[in-house]
Amino acid sequence: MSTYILPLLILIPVLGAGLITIIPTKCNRCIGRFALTISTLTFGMTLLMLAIFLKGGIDGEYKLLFECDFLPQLGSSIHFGIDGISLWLVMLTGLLSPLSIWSSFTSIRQGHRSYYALLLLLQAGMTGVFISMDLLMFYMFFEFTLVPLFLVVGIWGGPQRRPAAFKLFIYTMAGGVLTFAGIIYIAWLHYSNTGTLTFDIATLYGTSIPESAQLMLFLAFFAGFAVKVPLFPFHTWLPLAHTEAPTAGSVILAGVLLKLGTYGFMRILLPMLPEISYQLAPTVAVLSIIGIIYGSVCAWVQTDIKKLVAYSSVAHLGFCMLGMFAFNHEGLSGSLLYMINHGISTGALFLVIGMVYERYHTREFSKLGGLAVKMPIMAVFMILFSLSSIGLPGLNGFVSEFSILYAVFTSGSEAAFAGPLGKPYAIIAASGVILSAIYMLYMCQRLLFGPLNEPPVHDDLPEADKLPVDLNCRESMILMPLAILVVVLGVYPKIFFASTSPAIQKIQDKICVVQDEKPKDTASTANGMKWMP
Amino acid sequence: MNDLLTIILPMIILIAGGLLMLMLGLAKNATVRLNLPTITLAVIVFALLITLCPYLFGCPKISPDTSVKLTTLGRFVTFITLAIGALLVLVGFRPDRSQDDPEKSIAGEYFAMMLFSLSGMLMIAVANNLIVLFLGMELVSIPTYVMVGLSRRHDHAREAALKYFFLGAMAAAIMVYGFSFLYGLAGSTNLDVISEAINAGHFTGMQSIAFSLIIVGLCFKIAAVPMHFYAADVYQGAASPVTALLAFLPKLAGFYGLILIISLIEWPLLSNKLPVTVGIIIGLLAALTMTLGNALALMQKNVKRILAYSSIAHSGYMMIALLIGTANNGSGIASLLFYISVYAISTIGAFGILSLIERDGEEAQQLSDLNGLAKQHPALAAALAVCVFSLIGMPLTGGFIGKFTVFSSLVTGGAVGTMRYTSIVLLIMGVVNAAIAAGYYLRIIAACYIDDGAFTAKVRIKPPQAIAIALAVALTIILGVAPQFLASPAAKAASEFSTDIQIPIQQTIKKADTAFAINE
Repeated sequence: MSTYILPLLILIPVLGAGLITIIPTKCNRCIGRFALTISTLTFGMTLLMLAIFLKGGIDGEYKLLFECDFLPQLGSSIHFGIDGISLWLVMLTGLLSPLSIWSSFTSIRQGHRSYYALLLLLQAGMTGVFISMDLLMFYMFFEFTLVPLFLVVGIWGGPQRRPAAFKLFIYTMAGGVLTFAGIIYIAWLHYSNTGTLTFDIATLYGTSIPESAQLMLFLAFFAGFAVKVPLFPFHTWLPLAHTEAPTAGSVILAGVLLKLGTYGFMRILLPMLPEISYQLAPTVAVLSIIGIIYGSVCAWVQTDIKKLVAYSSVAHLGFCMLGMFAFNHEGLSGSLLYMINHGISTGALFLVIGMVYERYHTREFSKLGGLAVKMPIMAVFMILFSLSSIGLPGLNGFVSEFSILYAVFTSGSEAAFAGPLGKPYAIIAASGVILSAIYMLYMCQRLLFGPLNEPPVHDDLPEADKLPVDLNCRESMILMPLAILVVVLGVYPKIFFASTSPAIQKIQDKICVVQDEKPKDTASTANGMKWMP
Repeated sequence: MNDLLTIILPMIILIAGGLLMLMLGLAKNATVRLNLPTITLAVIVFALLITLCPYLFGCPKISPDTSVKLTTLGRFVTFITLAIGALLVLVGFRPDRSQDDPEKSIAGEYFAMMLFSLSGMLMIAVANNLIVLFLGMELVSIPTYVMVGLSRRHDHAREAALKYFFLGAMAAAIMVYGFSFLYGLAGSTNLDVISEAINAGHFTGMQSIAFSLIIVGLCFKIAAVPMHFYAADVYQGAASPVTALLAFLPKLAGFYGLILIISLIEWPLLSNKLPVTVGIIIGLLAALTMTLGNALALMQKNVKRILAYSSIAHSGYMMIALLIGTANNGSGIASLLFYISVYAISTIGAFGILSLIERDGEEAQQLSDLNGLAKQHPALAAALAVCVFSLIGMPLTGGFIGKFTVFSSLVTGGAVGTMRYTSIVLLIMGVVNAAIAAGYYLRIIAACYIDDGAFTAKVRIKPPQAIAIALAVALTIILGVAPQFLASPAAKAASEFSTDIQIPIQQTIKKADTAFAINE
């Protein structure tokens, strides 16, 4: 049974998407509920996966393996498995997908069947990226997610949806095809070294790559992943796509899709090309820091709430990249936790903004204000998620932000393995923490407090779907699990670190090989989290 | 049964079927004429069954000096020709508009020409002689000229037919001129004899001229730049079912002809001392073809012209595979055959859908005609989207696997010696072109799904076309999810083809070595 859980995580939503297109009903609510059932069922499977994974003990190995032939003569197979790193990202995908489907019940007015079918396909595709152990499979799912996302943004998006969808697709595809070339090239390098053609990620880790090819391969992989992250200056597609996408699209885009890029860096680029990554780490770090500051400053001056949160994503993902390129255990695990936290709090913020938008059909600061009086429940959630996004101690954002800054600060000064970064990077990046407090609190202040300023309520919904002034039960239930996670991960992050540490350690062993002459003391780095609660 | 007869039996069946169509097309009884497509389909299925027979009863053994030779590769090509031919009949399954007057009916001629054209491809698939190869090429081409002219009562169709005919005739003349050089060099038209002669002799300039001329002639068939000028006008002028056929049959004929001709020398092309010119020509043409095809497609507003220029670009990708050929266990040829099958299936699906959409009694051709299709006919729009995503090369459709096999064969088969940098440059050009192609293909999807505007055209859908489109979409997805059922026979056929050819070459090289030693 446990062998088939991972393929089922993909098959259930795909079959569900197929069923939705043919299900014989005229009732649009039923279609939505059916999609929610399928998606929740998939989430149930991920919980089962979690249980089996934990039962097997946490040792950094891949578990729940599934393998069958795909193109044997070209060395590719359908090979699934999860370790501590992918576990959390699969869980995040499994959680955010049903929530975003649930949040669309009242906001989607046309094309219900195709909309929910596409969201389910998107869920299947994203899960596929995280569980693939075959590089070609990884790439296939990585690119495939563009298809449903393009259509979701393009069909159900805002007024600028056409350029947004095109920009999203072409930017990411242009980067992605270069990654594709890199994947074929690295498989060939392995083939010419060993005589076997394979796309197995774990096997390809050991490929010895000539100096001349390293930079080329780095750039090839970097092109695809950096656009997806997005790293400054490849971020220009993101604000437009985020703003124009329907709420569910923004949630999935910010919550999971951006993580495909950072996951690619962590799983593929760094372990496969550790030497050139070490050399280029300062460059990447500078780009990340520019992203942090530039994203924050841009967020500060936005007049559209959704755009503000979109730019804050650019800043947050800059932190995520910075932590990874510190080349130490704290940095990697902090970066992974940051991926999860950003998915939770930014996803939740997009959900809240979507709920406000559904009532007033505007997201302009000039037309909204003082909503805390009228919508106290919404205000509570919004402040909670904003604080989590700022990184308030006690909430989840703080843990990851702190461990990344700590990792960057100590990166160059560790005795065992001197990382490429150092104190100056950490000090400049820390200014991002202040900036994020400025723009987030500014947003809360303008939207929630001050004199009441609200446009006429747009309530053209059918009687059964009418929305109350404040959040209704469904909307509160959507936000509740995310709010709980924000607090739990903030107060007790050990559940996260304990389950990811061995897998992170394995990645770290692969990437910290540059200075072979210095014996590295893995024990000291592995226990570097002692200060954690 | 006579071995020779076994080889050419499917071809004979198709030609006999074509003659039958010509007669039945003049029948007074309208029911007979209405059933012509069904009979055509039956003929093709019968030929397909006959083709499969050697699989059941073993491959016939033919002495090497005959003009026809059945290789595993040839049999595979026969198989995909007939299978995709059946799909083409379904797409072209249309009611005869002049049911009352047999003299005005064109159904008989239309399906007869289709059968003749398919039989020409079968002839190329078994050709082992320059004459047979040339006959096959003309048998593929000439009926297509007629079909283009017959397909629509419109000046565009006449213009297209004339243009296609004159340029095609000139290309054939150039090809035959090249053949004459080969005959002059080897003293025989048999491909085995020519191969031995070329590999035994030393490099001569004549060989370069011969190969260049033949490649130019064949590149017309596959619409490679700069022999591509006819493509857009002809594709636009012909009715969509005929355009679908043009996108597949002449391309397959041209590529199989190129495989046969280039197999006279050794693969991979650029690392071989003799045919350096051939390698440079093919590599350069591949780069030019995909880049220019994509660049020109970006500027079009007419869907058929977009697909026409994109078909040029696809030829460029396939030429990359041609550069590798039989090197590395036939991976180049295998990927070429896989790619052309996937491309044909997706293109037939796309043109099949376009042929159903009518405006003012004419086929809808502008992008704006597709606006609102997703709302009015969601299934049709979804089918078009799947086909177009496959042509872009998105994963989980056959198009992605096609691109992957081509690029993978390029790197694994070509990354040796002097060819290494060429293959890396071609790889980067290829993937960048794949991204450029997304720019115009997405406009087709956007026209169906995103752009505002009401759907004003009419959709005429009949069960046969519905079946054809459903089959094309299903195959496109299946080939993307479980490509092995086509990729593995293709790989097998290609690897056996390479051993088949290479053994005599090695022997002749030994012979040449000993001859050289004796001379010394």
